Amino acid sequence: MTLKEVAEQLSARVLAGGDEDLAAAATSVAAGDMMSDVLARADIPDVLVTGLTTVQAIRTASVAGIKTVVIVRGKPVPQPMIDLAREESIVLMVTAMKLFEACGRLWDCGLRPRAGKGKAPEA
Amino acid sequence: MTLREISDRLGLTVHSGCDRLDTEVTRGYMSDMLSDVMGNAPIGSLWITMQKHKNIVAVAVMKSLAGIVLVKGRAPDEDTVAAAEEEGVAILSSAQGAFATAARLHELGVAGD
Amino acid sequence: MHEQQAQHAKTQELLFELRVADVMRPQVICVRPDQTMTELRNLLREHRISGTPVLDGDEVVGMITIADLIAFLVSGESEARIADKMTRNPQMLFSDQLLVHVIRQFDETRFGRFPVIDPQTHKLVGILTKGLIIEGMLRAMERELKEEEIRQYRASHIFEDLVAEYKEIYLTYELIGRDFDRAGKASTQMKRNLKRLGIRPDIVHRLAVASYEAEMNAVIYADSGVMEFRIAPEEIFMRVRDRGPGIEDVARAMEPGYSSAPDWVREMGFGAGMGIPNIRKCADKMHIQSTPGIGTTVSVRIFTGREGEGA
Repeated sequence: MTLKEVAEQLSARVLAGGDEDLAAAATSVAAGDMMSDVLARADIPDVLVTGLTTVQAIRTASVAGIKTVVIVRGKPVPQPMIDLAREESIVLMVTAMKLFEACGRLWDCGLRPRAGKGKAPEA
Repeated sequence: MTLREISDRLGLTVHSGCDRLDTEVTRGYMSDMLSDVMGNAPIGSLWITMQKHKNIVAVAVMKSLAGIVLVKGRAPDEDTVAAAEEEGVAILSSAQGAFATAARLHELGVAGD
Repeated sequence: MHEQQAQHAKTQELLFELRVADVMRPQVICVRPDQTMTELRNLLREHRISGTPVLDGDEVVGMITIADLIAFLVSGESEARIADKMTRNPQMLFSDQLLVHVIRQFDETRFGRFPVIDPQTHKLVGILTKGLIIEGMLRAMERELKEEEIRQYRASHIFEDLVAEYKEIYLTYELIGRDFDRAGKASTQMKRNLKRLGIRPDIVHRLAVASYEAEMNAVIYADSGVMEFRIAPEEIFMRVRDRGPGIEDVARAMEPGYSSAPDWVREMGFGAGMGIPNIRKCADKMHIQSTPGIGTTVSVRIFTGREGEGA
Protein backbone atom coordinates (compact mmCIF):
# COMPACT_ATOMS: atom_id res chain seq x y z
CA MET A 1 0.00 0.00 0.00
CA THR A 2 1.08 3.62 -0.35
CA LEU A 3 1.98 5.91 2.53
CA LYS A 4 -1.12 7.89 1.69
CA GLU A 5 -3.19 4.77 2.27
CA VAL A 6 -1.34 4.11 5.53
CA ALA A 7 -2.33 7.58 6.70
CA GLU A 8 -5.93 6.94 5.69
CA GLN A 9 -6.10 3.56 7.39
CA LEU A 10 -4.73 5.01 10.61
CA SER A 11 -6.77 8.22 10.29
CA ALA A 12 -3.44 9.94 10.65
CA ARG A 13 -2.58 13.58 10.07
CA VAL A 14 0.47 14.11 7.87
CA LEU A 15 2.89 16.58 9.46
CA ALA A 16 5.80 16.29 7.04
CA GLY A 17 5.80 14.98 3.50
CA GLY A 18 4.28 16.04 0.21
CA ASP A 19 2.10 14.20 -2.27
CA GLU A 20 5.11 12.72 -4.02
CA ASP A 21 6.49 11.30 -0.77
CA LEU A 22 3.09 9.90 0.18
CA ALA A 23 2.82 8.05 -3.12
CA ALA A 24 5.73 5.81 -2.08
CA ALA A 25 5.02 2.18 -1.25
CA ALA A 26 5.15 0.73 2.24
CA THR A 27 5.41 -2.98 2.87
CA SER A 28 7.34 -3.44 6.10
CA VAL A 29 6.84 -2.11 9.62
CA ALA A 30 8.78 -1.82 12.87
CA ALA A 31 6.95 -0.91 16.08
CA GLY A 32 8.27 0.22 19.44
CA ASP A 33 9.48 3.08 21.58
CA MET A 34 13.10 2.12 22.11
CA MET A 35 15.42 3.39 19.43
CA SER A 36 18.28 0.98 20.01
CA ASP A 37 15.84 -1.81 19.34
CA VAL A 38 14.99 -0.26 16.00
CA LEU A 39 18.69 0.04 15.18
CA ALA A 40 19.37 -3.56 16.13
CA ARG A 41 17.35 -4.83 13.18
CA ALA A 42 19.18 -6.36 10.29
CA ASP A 43 16.63 -5.10 7.77
CA ILE A 44 15.32 -1.61 7.06
CA PRO A 45 11.55 -1.28 7.44
CA ASP A 46 9.56 1.26 5.44
CA VAL A 47 7.58 2.49 8.42
CA LEU A 48 8.40 3.02 12.09
CA VAL A 49 5.38 3.18 14.39
CA THR A 50 6.31 4.68 17.74
CA GLY A 51 5.21 6.80 20.65
CA LEU A 52 8.57 8.52 21.02
CA THR A 53 8.01 12.19 20.26
CA THR A 54 11.55 13.51 20.22
CA VAL A 55 13.96 14.44 17.45
CA GLN A 56 15.73 11.18 18.25
CA ALA A 57 12.94 9.26 16.54
CA ILE A 58 13.72 11.21 13.35
CA ARG A 59 17.47 10.85 13.78
CA THR A 60 17.06 7.11 14.30
CA ALA A 61 14.94 6.87 11.16
CA SER A 62 17.56 8.86 9.29
CA VAL A 63 20.45 6.71 10.50
CA ALA A 64 18.55 3.49 9.86
CA GLY A 65 17.26 4.56 6.45
CA ILE A 66 13.59 4.40 7.47
CA LYS A 67 11.49 6.73 5.36
CA THR A 68 8.35 7.13 7.48
CA VAL A 69 7.61 7.69 11.16
CA VAL A 70 4.08 7.30 12.55
CA ILE A 71 3.47 8.72 16.00
CA VAL A 72 0.74 6.96 17.98
CA ARG A 73 -1.41 7.75 21.00
CA GLY A 74 -2.31 11.12 19.50
CA LYS A 75 0.66 12.63 21.25
CA PRO A 76 1.58 16.25 20.54
CA VAL A 77 4.48 16.36 18.11
CA PRO A 78 7.03 19.09 18.90
CA GLN A 79 7.80 21.53 16.09
CA PRO A 80 11.55 20.72 16.11
CA MET A 81 10.63 17.14 15.30
CA ILE A 82 8.48 18.26 12.35
CA ASP A 83 11.21 20.60 11.11
CA LEU A 84 13.85 17.89 11.30
CA ALA A 85 11.59 15.42 9.48
CA ARG A 86 11.22 17.93 6.65
CA GLU A 87 14.96 18.55 6.57
CA GLU A 88 15.70 14.84 6.45
CA SER A 89 12.91 14.14 3.93
CA ILE A 90 11.18 11.71 6.27
CA VAL A 91 7.41 11.41 6.15
CA LEU A 92 5.94 12.11 9.58
CA MET A 93 2.36 11.50 10.60
CA VAL A 94 0.41 11.23 13.85
CA THR A 95 -2.58 9.02 14.69
CA ALA A 96 -4.85 8.95 17.71
CA MET A 97 -4.77 5.16 17.61
CA LYS A 98 -2.80 3.29 20.20
CA LEU A 99 0.30 1.36 19.19
CA PHE A 100 -1.42 -2.01 19.62
CA GLU A 101 -4.39 -1.09 17.41
CA ALA A 102 -2.28 0.64 14.81
CA CYS A 103 -0.26 -2.57 14.39
CA GLY A 104 -3.44 -4.63 14.10
CA ARG A 105 -4.83 -2.31 11.44
CA LEU A 106 -1.64 -2.28 9.39
CA TRP A 107 -1.40 -6.05 9.60
CA ASP A 108 -4.95 -6.35 8.28
CA CYS A 109 -3.91 -4.17 5.35
CA GLY A 110 -1.10 -6.55 4.53
CA LEU A 111 1.93 -4.86 6.05
CA ARG A 112 4.44 -7.24 7.58
CA PRO A 113 7.57 -7.05 9.77
CA ARG A 114 9.78 -7.29 6.74
CA ALA A 115 9.31 -7.12 3.01
CA GLY A 116 8.44 -10.41 1.40
CA LYS A 117 7.16 -12.20 4.50
CA GLY A 118 3.49 -13.08 4.24
CA LYS A 119 1.27 -12.08 1.39
CA ALA A 120 0.08 -8.53 1.04
CA PRO A 121 -3.39 -8.09 -0.43
CA GLU A 122 -3.66 -6.18 -3.71
CA ALA A 123 -3.52 -2.48 -2.86
CA MET B 1 -9.69 -15.96 26.10
CA THR B 2 -7.24 -16.94 28.82
CA LEU B 3 -3.53 -16.35 29.02
CA ARG B 4 -3.07 -20.08 28.71
CA GLU B 5 -5.00 -20.23 25.45
CA ILE B 6 -3.07 -17.28 24.09
CA SER B 7 0.19 -18.85 25.16
CA ASP B 8 -0.70 -22.13 23.45
CA ARG B 9 -2.03 -20.55 20.26
CA LEU B 10 0.96 -18.22 19.87
CA GLY B 11 3.61 -20.60 21.14
CA LEU B 12 4.74 -18.30 23.92
CA THR B 13 7.26 -19.21 26.60
CA VAL B 14 6.15 -18.81 30.21
CA HIS B 15 8.77 -17.30 32.53
CA SER B 16 6.76 -16.59 35.65
CA GLY B 17 3.27 -16.82 37.11
CA CYS B 18 2.30 -20.25 35.77
CA ASP B 19 -0.49 -20.22 38.31
CA ARG B 20 -1.93 -17.09 36.69
CA LEU B 21 -2.54 -18.52 33.26
CA ASP B 22 -6.29 -18.77 33.72
CA THR B 23 -6.54 -14.99 33.74
CA GLU B 24 -8.97 -13.67 31.13
CA VAL B 25 -7.51 -11.38 28.51
CA THR B 26 -9.73 -8.99 26.56
CA ARG B 27 -7.51 -5.99 25.92
CA GLY B 28 -3.94 -5.51 24.85
CA TYR B 29 -1.58 -2.56 25.26
CA MET B 30 1.80 -2.09 23.65
CA SER B 31 4.38 0.38 24.92
CA ASP B 32 7.99 0.49 26.09
CA MET B 33 7.64 3.62 28.18
CA LEU B 34 6.71 2.88 31.77
CA SER B 35 5.22 6.31 32.32
CA ASP B 36 2.95 5.76 29.33
CA VAL B 37 1.78 2.36 30.58
CA MET B 38 1.13 3.81 34.03
CA GLY B 39 -0.87 6.62 32.55
CA ASN B 40 -2.71 4.97 29.68
CA ALA B 41 -2.83 1.19 29.79
CA PRO B 42 -6.34 -0.14 30.46
CA ILE B 43 -6.64 -1.90 33.83
CA GLY B 44 -6.34 -5.62 33.36
CA SER B 45 -4.94 -5.47 29.84
CA LEU B 46 -2.14 -7.65 28.50
CA TRP B 47 1.04 -5.59 28.18
CA ILE B 48 3.36 -6.14 25.22
CA THR B 49 6.84 -4.69 25.56
CA MET B 50 10.55 -5.23 25.08
CA GLN B 51 11.45 -3.98 28.55
CA LYS B 52 12.68 -6.79 30.76
CA HIS B 53 14.02 -5.00 33.81
CA LYS B 54 12.56 -5.32 37.26
CA ASN B 55 10.43 -2.16 37.14
CA ILE B 56 7.96 -3.78 34.75
CA VAL B 57 6.67 -5.93 37.60
CA ALA B 58 5.68 -2.97 39.76
CA VAL B 59 3.88 -1.41 36.81
CA ALA B 60 1.99 -4.66 36.15
CA VAL B 61 0.93 -4.84 39.77
CA MET B 62 -0.21 -1.23 39.93
CA LYS B 63 -2.35 -1.55 36.81
CA SER B 64 -3.52 -5.07 37.64
CA LEU B 65 -2.37 -6.12 34.19
CA ALA B 66 -3.32 -9.58 32.93
CA GLY B 67 0.32 -10.22 32.26
CA ILE B 68 3.38 -9.12 30.33
CA VAL B 69 4.45 -10.43 26.93
CA LEU B 70 8.08 -9.74 26.09
CA VAL B 71 8.89 -9.62 22.40
CA LYS B 72 11.75 -10.81 20.19
CA GLY B 73 12.37 -13.84 22.37
CA ARG B 74 13.55 -11.72 25.23
CA ALA B 75 13.67 -13.29 28.67
CA PRO B 76 13.12 -11.26 31.82
CA ASP B 77 16.16 -10.52 33.99
CA GLU B 78 16.70 -12.81 36.99
CA ASP B 79 15.59 -10.21 39.47
CA THR B 80 12.56 -9.49 37.31
CA VAL B 81 11.48 -13.14 37.49
CA ALA B 82 11.97 -13.18 41.26
CA ALA B 83 9.87 -10.05 41.71
CA ALA B 84 7.21 -11.42 39.33
CA GLU B 85 6.87 -14.69 41.24
CA GLU B 86 6.60 -12.82 44.50
CA GLU B 87 3.95 -10.44 43.16
CA GLY B 88 2.09 -13.05 41.14
CA VAL B 89 2.72 -11.49 37.72
CA ALA B 90 2.72 -13.67 34.62
CA ILE B 91 5.55 -12.91 32.21
CA LEU B 92 5.63 -14.68 28.85
CA SER B 93 7.72 -14.17 25.78
CA SER B 94 7.05 -14.25 22.07
CA ALA B 95 9.74 -15.22 19.59
CA GLN B 96 8.46 -12.59 17.17
CA GLY B 97 8.97 -8.86 17.15
CA ALA B 98 6.60 -6.27 18.54
CA PHE B 99 4.65 -5.64 15.34
CA ALA B 100 4.02 -9.32 14.60
CA THR B 101 3.19 -10.14 18.22
CA ALA B 102 0.64 -7.35 18.49
CA ALA B 103 -0.80 -8.32 15.11
CA ARG B 104 -1.24 -11.97 16.07
CA LEU B 105 -2.91 -11.06 19.35
CA HIS B 106 -5.18 -8.78 17.37
CA GLU B 107 -6.01 -11.70 15.06
CA LEU B 108 -6.92 -13.78 18.11
CA GLY B 109 -9.46 -11.15 19.03
CA VAL B 110 -7.59 -9.23 21.71
CA ALA B 111 -8.86 -5.66 21.40
CA GLY B 112 -6.95 -2.40 21.51
CA ASP B 113 -9.34 0.08 23.01
CA MET C 1 21.04 15.43 -17.84
CA HIS C 2 19.63 18.36 -15.97
CA GLU C 3 20.31 16.77 -12.60
CA GLN C 4 23.99 16.27 -13.31
CA GLN C 5 24.32 19.84 -14.48
CA ALA C 6 22.75 21.09 -11.27
CA GLN C 7 25.11 19.01 -9.16
CA HIS C 8 28.08 20.16 -11.15
CA ALA C 9 26.99 23.75 -10.61
CA LYS C 10 26.77 23.23 -6.85
CA THR C 11 30.31 21.91 -6.62
CA GLN C 12 31.54 24.69 -8.88
CA GLU C 13 29.92 27.25 -6.59
CA LEU C 14 31.82 25.89 -3.62
CA LEU C 15 35.08 25.80 -5.50
CA PHE C 16 34.63 29.49 -6.29
CA GLU C 17 33.73 30.32 -2.69
CA LEU C 18 36.32 28.40 -0.76
CA ARG C 19 39.90 29.55 -0.47
CA VAL C 20 43.02 27.65 0.48
CA ALA C 21 42.98 29.24 3.94
CA ASP C 22 39.49 27.79 4.54
CA VAL C 23 40.58 24.20 4.07
CA MET C 24 44.32 23.97 4.73
CA ARG C 25 45.87 22.49 7.84
CA PRO C 26 47.43 25.43 9.67
CA GLN C 27 49.75 23.60 12.04
CA VAL C 28 52.50 22.28 9.91
CA ILE C 29 55.12 19.81 10.93
CA CYS C 30 58.39 20.85 9.32
CA VAL C 31 61.94 19.69 9.05
CA ARG C 32 65.24 21.46 8.48
CA PRO C 33 67.63 20.74 5.62
CA ASP C 34 70.40 19.63 7.99
CA GLN C 35 68.24 16.98 9.66
CA THR C 36 68.71 13.34 8.76
CA MET C 37 66.50 10.95 6.81
CA THR C 38 66.26 8.81 9.93
CA GLU C 39 64.82 11.74 11.84
CA LEU C 40 62.42 12.25 8.96
CA ARG C 41 61.28 8.63 9.07
CA ASN C 42 60.52 8.85 12.78
CA LEU C 43 58.69 12.11 12.32
CA LEU C 44 56.49 10.84 9.48
CA ARG C 45 55.62 7.75 11.44
CA GLU C 46 54.96 9.54 14.72
CA HIS C 47 52.61 12.08 13.16
CA ARG C 48 51.14 9.72 10.59
CA ILE C 49 51.84 12.10 7.72
CA SER C 50 53.28 11.46 4.32
CA GLY C 51 55.36 14.53 3.70
CA THR C 52 56.60 17.82 5.12
CA PRO C 53 57.97 21.15 3.95
CA VAL C 54 61.64 21.82 4.57
CA LEU C 55 62.30 25.13 6.25
CA ASP C 56 65.58 26.98 6.42
CA GLY C 57 64.82 29.59 9.06
CA ASP C 58 61.62 31.14 7.79
CA GLU C 59 61.99 30.19 4.19
CA VAL C 60 60.49 27.16 2.50
CA VAL C 61 63.37 25.62 0.59
CA GLY C 62 61.98 22.20 -0.25
CA MET C 63 59.44 19.42 0.18
CA ILE C 64 60.26 15.92 1.31
CA THR C 65 57.85 13.02 1.16
CA ILE C 66 57.46 9.38 1.94
CA ALA C 67 58.35 8.63 -1.67
CA ASP C 68 61.74 10.29 -1.12
CA LEU C 69 62.16 8.30 2.09
CA ILE C 70 61.44 5.03 0.32
CA ALA C 71 63.90 5.86 -2.43
CA PHE C 72 66.53 6.56 0.21
CA LEU C 73 65.83 3.32 2.12
CA VAL C 74 65.97 1.31 -1.08
CA SER C 75 69.25 2.91 -2.13
CA GLY C 76 71.00 1.28 0.81
CA GLU C 77 72.73 4.43 2.03
CA SER C 78 73.24 4.33 5.77
CA GLU C 79 72.29 7.95 6.34
CA ALA C 80 71.68 11.16 4.43
CA ARG C 81 70.69 14.74 5.02
CA ILE C 82 67.24 15.91 4.08
CA ALA C 83 68.85 18.67 2.03
CA ASP C 84 70.25 16.06 -0.33
CA LYS C 85 67.01 14.18 -0.88
CA MET C 86 64.36 16.85 -0.90
CA THR C 87 62.66 18.40 -3.91
CA ARG C 88 64.02 21.90 -4.09
CA ASN C 89 61.98 25.06 -4.71
CA PRO C 90 58.65 23.33 -4.46
CA GLN C 91 55.50 24.74 -5.95
CA MET C 92 53.60 26.60 -3.31
CA LEU C 93 50.11 27.94 -2.89
CA PHE C 94 48.93 31.27 -1.51
CA SER C 95 46.44 31.14 1.33
CA ASP C 96 44.01 33.44 -0.47
CA GLN C 97 43.78 31.42 -3.69
CA LEU C 98 40.39 30.04 -4.71
CA LEU C 99 40.15 26.24 -4.67
CA VAL C 100 39.01 26.17 -8.27
CA HIS C 101 42.42 27.39 -9.42
CA VAL C 102 44.33 25.28 -6.96
CA ILE C 103 42.74 22.03 -8.09
CA ARG C 104 44.20 22.42 -11.52
CA GLN C 105 47.67 22.53 -9.98
CA PHE C 106 47.06 19.25 -8.19
CA ASP C 107 46.03 17.75 -11.50
CA GLU C 108 48.82 19.17 -13.60
CA THR C 109 51.75 18.54 -11.29
CA ARG C 110 50.53 15.31 -9.71
CA PHE C 111 51.99 16.40 -6.38
CA GLY C 112 49.96 15.27 -3.40
CA ARG C 113 50.64 18.21 -1.14
CA PHE C 114 51.62 21.85 -1.31
CA PRO C 115 53.02 24.21 1.29
CA VAL C 116 50.83 27.26 1.73
CA ILE C 117 52.33 30.67 2.23
CA ASP C 118 50.88 34.01 3.19
CA PRO C 119 50.57 36.26 0.10
CA GLN C 120 52.10 39.26 1.88
CA THR C 121 54.78 37.86 4.16
CA HIS C 122 55.53 34.71 2.14
CA LYS C 123 55.81 32.86 5.44
CA LEU C 124 54.63 29.26 5.72
CA VAL C 125 51.08 29.22 7.13
CA GLY C 126 49.82 25.79 6.32
CA ILE C 127 49.80 22.72 4.14
CA LEU C 128 47.19 21.53 1.66
CA THR C 129 46.46 18.02 0.45
CA LYS C 130 43.66 16.56 -1.66
CA GLY C 131 42.23 14.97 1.47
CA LEU C 132 42.02 18.34 3.14
CA ILE C 133 40.24 19.80 0.12
CA ILE C 134 37.66 17.02 0.31
CA GLU C 135 37.20 17.46 4.05
CA GLY C 136 36.77 21.18 3.62
CA MET C 137 34.20 20.75 0.88
CA LEU C 138 32.27 18.19 2.89
CA ARG C 139 32.15 20.56 5.85
CA ALA C 140 30.94 23.36 3.63
CA MET C 141 28.28 21.10 2.14
CA GLU C 142 27.14 20.12 5.62
CA ARG C 143 26.44 23.75 6.28
CA GLU C 144 24.73 24.47 3.02
CA LEU C 145 23.06 21.57 1.32
CA LYS C 146 19.86 19.94 2.52
CA GLU C 147 19.08 16.23 2.71
CA GLU C 148 16.90 16.34 -0.38
CA GLU C 149 19.76 17.58 -2.50
CA ILE C 150 22.23 15.22 -0.93
CA ARG C 151 20.10 12.18 -1.60
CA GLN C 152 20.37 12.81 -5.30
CA TYR C 153 23.89 14.08 -5.11
CA ARG C 154 26.50 12.21 -6.98
CA ALA C 155 29.90 13.85 -7.10
CA SER C 156 30.53 16.02 -10.12
CA HIS C 157 33.60 15.05 -12.09
CA ILE C 158 35.91 17.42 -10.25
CA PHE C 159 34.94 16.07 -6.86
CA GLU C 160 35.04 12.52 -8.22
CA ASP C 161 38.60 12.92 -9.41
CA LEU C 162 39.65 14.22 -6.00
CA VAL C 163 37.84 11.46 -4.19
CA ALA C 164 39.29 8.81 -6.46
CA GLU C 165 42.80 9.64 -5.29
CA TYR C 166 42.40 10.52 -1.66
CA LYS C 167 44.43 8.65 0.88
CA GLU C 168 42.76 9.63 4.11
CA ILE C 169 40.05 12.01 5.22
CA TYR C 170 39.57 13.14 8.80
CA LEU C 171 36.40 14.60 10.25
CA THR C 172 35.81 15.61 13.86
CA TYR C 173 32.72 16.56 15.81
CA GLU C 174 32.34 17.96 19.31
CA LEU C 175 29.67 16.37 21.48
CA ILE C 176 27.91 18.21 24.27
CA GLY C 177 26.65 16.17 27.17
CA ARG C 178 22.90 16.19 27.80
CA ASP C 179 22.22 18.25 24.67
CA PHE C 180 19.40 16.10 23.38
CA ASP C 181 18.36 18.50 20.64
CA ARG C 182 21.68 18.06 18.94
CA ALA C 183 22.34 14.46 19.93
CA GLY C 184 22.70 12.36 16.82
CA LYS C 185 23.29 15.31 14.50
CA ALA C 186 26.95 14.47 13.98
CA SER C 187 26.12 10.90 13.00
CA THR C 188 23.45 11.89 10.52
CA GLN C 189 25.83 14.43 8.98
CA MET C 190 28.50 11.78 8.78
CA LYS C 191 26.09 9.46 7.02
CA ARG C 192 25.49 12.11 4.39
CA ASN C 193 29.22 12.58 3.91
CA LEU C 194 29.78 8.89 3.38
CA LYS C 195 27.02 8.79 0.80
CA ARG C 196 28.60 11.74 -0.97
CA LEU C 197 31.89 9.88 -1.06
CA GLY C 198 30.19 6.98 -2.77
CA ILE C 199 30.83 4.44 -0.01
CA ARG C 200 28.80 1.23 -0.32
CA PRO C 201 25.31 1.56 1.24
CA ASP C 202 25.69 -1.41 3.59
CA ILE C 203 28.91 0.06 4.97
CA VAL C 204 27.33 3.48 5.31
CA HIS C 205 24.48 1.87 7.25
CA ARG C 206 26.75 0.03 9.66
CA LEU C 207 28.91 3.07 10.28
CA ALA C 208 25.87 5.29 10.79
CA VAL C 209 24.30 2.96 13.36
CA ALA C 210 27.57 2.45 15.25
CA SER C 211 28.36 6.14 15.41
CA TYR C 212 24.81 7.11 16.36
CA GLU C 213 24.76 4.65 19.26
CA ALA C 214 28.20 5.81 20.41
CA GLU C 215 27.15 9.44 20.08
CA MET C 216 23.96 8.85 22.09
CA ASN C 217 25.89 7.06 24.83
CA ALA C 218 28.26 9.99 25.15
CA VAL C 219 25.48 12.58 25.20
CA ILE C 220 23.33 10.63 27.64
CA TYR C 221 25.97 9.65 30.17
CA ALA C 222 28.94 11.98 29.74
CA ASP C 223 29.62 15.68 30.17
CA SER C 224 31.28 16.11 26.80
CA GLY C 225 32.97 14.19 24.07
CA VAL C 226 34.72 14.18 20.73
CA MET C 227 33.78 11.98 17.80
CA GLU C 228 36.45 11.40 15.16
CA PHE C 229 36.31 9.68 11.81
CA ARG C 230 39.15 8.58 9.59
CA ILE C 231 38.07 7.47 6.14
CA ALA C 232 40.80 5.58 4.38
CA PRO C 233 40.64 3.37 1.30
CA GLU C 234 40.78 0.16 3.28
CA GLU C 235 38.71 1.02 6.33
CA ILE C 236 36.62 3.56 8.15
CA PHE C 237 37.70 4.25 11.72
CA MET C 238 35.42 5.93 14.23
CA ARG C 239 36.28 6.88 17.76
CA VAL C 240 34.23 8.56 20.46
CA ARG C 241 36.11 9.79 23.49
CA ASP C 242 34.00 11.16 26.29
CA ARG C 243 34.62 12.82 29.62
CA GLY C 244 32.15 11.41 32.08
CA PRO C 245 31.47 8.76 34.69
CA GLY C 246 32.99 5.95 32.63
CA ILE C 247 31.88 2.33 32.69
CA GLU C 248 32.53 0.29 35.83
CA ASP C 249 32.38 -3.11 34.21
CA VAL C 250 33.09 -3.02 30.49
CA ALA C 251 32.61 -6.74 30.01
CA ARG C 252 29.15 -6.54 31.49
CA ALA C 253 28.30 -3.49 29.44
CA MET C 254 28.87 -5.59 26.33
CA GLU C 255 26.08 -7.99 27.30
CA PRO C 256 22.82 -7.30 25.46
CA GLY C 257 20.17 -6.10 27.87
CA TYR C 258 22.55 -4.99 30.60
CA SER C 259 22.01 -1.36 31.36
CA SER C 260 22.75 0.96 34.23
CA ALA C 261 20.44 3.58 32.76
CA PRO C 262 18.24 5.59 35.08
CA ASP C 263 14.53 5.72 34.23
CA TRP C 264 14.62 9.09 32.49
CA VAL C 265 16.93 7.62 29.87
CA ARG C 266 14.40 4.90 29.12
CA GLU C 267 11.71 7.51 28.72
CA MET C 268 13.85 9.00 25.97
CA GLY C 269 13.90 5.77 24.01
CA PHE C 270 17.33 4.56 25.11
CA GLY C 271 18.87 2.69 28.02
CA ALA C 272 17.70 -0.78 27.10
CA GLY C 273 21.26 -2.02 27.15
CA MET C 274 21.48 -2.47 23.41
CA GLY C 275 23.69 0.40 22.40
CA ILE C 276 27.03 -1.32 22.84
CA PRO C 277 25.86 -4.67 21.45
CA ASN C 278 24.54 -2.78 18.41
CA ILE C 279 27.91 -1.10 17.91
CA ARG C 280 29.64 -4.43 18.18
CA LYS C 281 27.32 -5.97 15.62
CA CYS C 282 28.07 -3.23 13.12
CA ALA C 283 31.81 -3.13 13.60
CA ASP C 284 34.44 -5.39 12.20
CA LYS C 285 36.57 -4.44 15.18
CA MET C 286 35.44 -2.66 18.33
CA HIS C 287 37.40 -1.57 21.35
CA ILE C 288 36.13 -0.02 24.57
CA GLN C 289 38.38 1.47 27.16
CA SER C 290 37.02 3.18 30.24
CA THR C 291 38.25 4.72 33.47
CA PRO C 292 35.50 5.24 36.04
CA GLY C 293 35.33 8.88 37.00
CA ILE C 294 37.27 10.01 33.94
CA GLY C 295 35.58 8.80 30.79
CA THR C 296 35.17 6.22 28.07
CA THR C 297 36.62 5.69 24.63
CA VAL C 298 34.81 3.57 22.08
CA SER C 299 36.52 2.87 18.77
CA VAL C 300 35.22 1.02 15.78
CA ARG C 301 36.75 -0.19 12.52
CA ILE C 302 34.77 -1.16 9.47
CA PHE C 303 36.77 -2.66 6.63
CA THR C 304 35.78 -1.46 3.23
CA GLY C 305 37.98 -3.68 1.14
CA ARG C 306 38.82 -0.92 -1.25
CA GLU C 307 42.57 -1.17 -0.87
CA GLY C 308 44.30 0.82 -3.55
CA GLU C 309 41.21 1.79 -5.47
CA GLY C 310 38.99 4.86 -5.46
CA ALA C 311 35.69 5.16 -3.59
